[in-house]
Amino acid sequence: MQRYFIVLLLLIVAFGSGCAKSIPKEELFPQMYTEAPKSIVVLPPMNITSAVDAKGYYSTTLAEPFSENGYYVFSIPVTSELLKSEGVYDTELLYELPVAKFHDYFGADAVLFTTINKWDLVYYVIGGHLAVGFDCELRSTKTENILWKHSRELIINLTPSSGNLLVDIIATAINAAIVDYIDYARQANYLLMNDMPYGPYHKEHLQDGKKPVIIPYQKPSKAKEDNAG
Amino acid sequence: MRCKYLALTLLLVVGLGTGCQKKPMYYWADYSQTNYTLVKEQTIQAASEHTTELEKIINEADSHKLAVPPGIYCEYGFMLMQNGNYKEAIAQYSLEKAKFPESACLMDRLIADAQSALEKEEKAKELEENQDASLISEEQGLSQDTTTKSEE
Repeated sequence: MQRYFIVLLLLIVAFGSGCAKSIPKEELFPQMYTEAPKSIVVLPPMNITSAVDAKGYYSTTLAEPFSENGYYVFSIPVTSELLKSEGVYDTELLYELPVAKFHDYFGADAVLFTTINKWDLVYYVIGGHLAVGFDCELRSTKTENILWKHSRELIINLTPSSGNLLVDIIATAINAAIVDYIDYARQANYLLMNDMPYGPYHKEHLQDGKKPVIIPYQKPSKAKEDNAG
Repeated sequence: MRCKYLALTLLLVVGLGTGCQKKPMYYWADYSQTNYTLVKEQTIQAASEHTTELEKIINEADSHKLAVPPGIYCEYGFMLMQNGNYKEAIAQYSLEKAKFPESACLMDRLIADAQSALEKEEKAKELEENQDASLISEEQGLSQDTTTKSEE
């Protein structure tokens, strides 16, 4: 029986150890409650990694989590086509500029900038992992203030585990060939959305202010250690 | 007793694990997958598959007891617009505007674009018909009133 206690404790520790502290949502992002933005223009992601294709792929995973969080999200492919027709091919060009014009053109309350700052695929003989890092910044079109921001780094394990070494080696090779970034990006997004205050289409809109946000303990050198090991 | 703790542990794991997977509000079908294929392949076939998926979301959301997500009518309208189906595009933009008032500003802009494209197309058609008619009438040596009849 004691053994189960230990298992239980270990589990709690395992789930909890990622966190340094927890703060209520409304304290962390007060302007999400005072301004209460309804609609978001999601700009094409900015990419500072060498994975050229990560940008286009990542943008296709953003509509679902933000919509399900209760916001009106302007269709991302339409947004990107409209921007292109205005001569804007890179979000980098917009980052330093005021975003008020998105209120005039789209009628949007806020603009989301995302940056992919890590996209490292690492393989070893019988396994591998993908290290992904994202920054998100929601900026108000009315006040130009940053309403919500988030950054997250996570490591996705690509190691197959059949227990049979030969099978594992083959599986790793196959995984490496067909690794589809999108599933991993989706996983990353769902984690990302946990701390965002809910929007007007969510039934807990403006009522989730007391909910604690767990701020993960940042270990910036984790991936490097992994690489070395 | 053993069982009880095991069950408790399991519940805890499930509880902590499902915290991030809520019941969806919207019906997405395979939206992000077909959108991804479109971004990746940039082919006409991928575009038509994505359009079909958008159609599917609009048609089947009700039967899943879920809502059509924001931006879907707009995106479908945009695809139709690119195929030159301006009338249907206007209808889809209007639906988006009706379901999501937040989109009104952009939808009015897109509807105006589609409207002017439609008018341009109609004018071009009229002009073409007139030209055809005048050519025919010239050939036949009858340069009178035939042109006015072709306006229908």
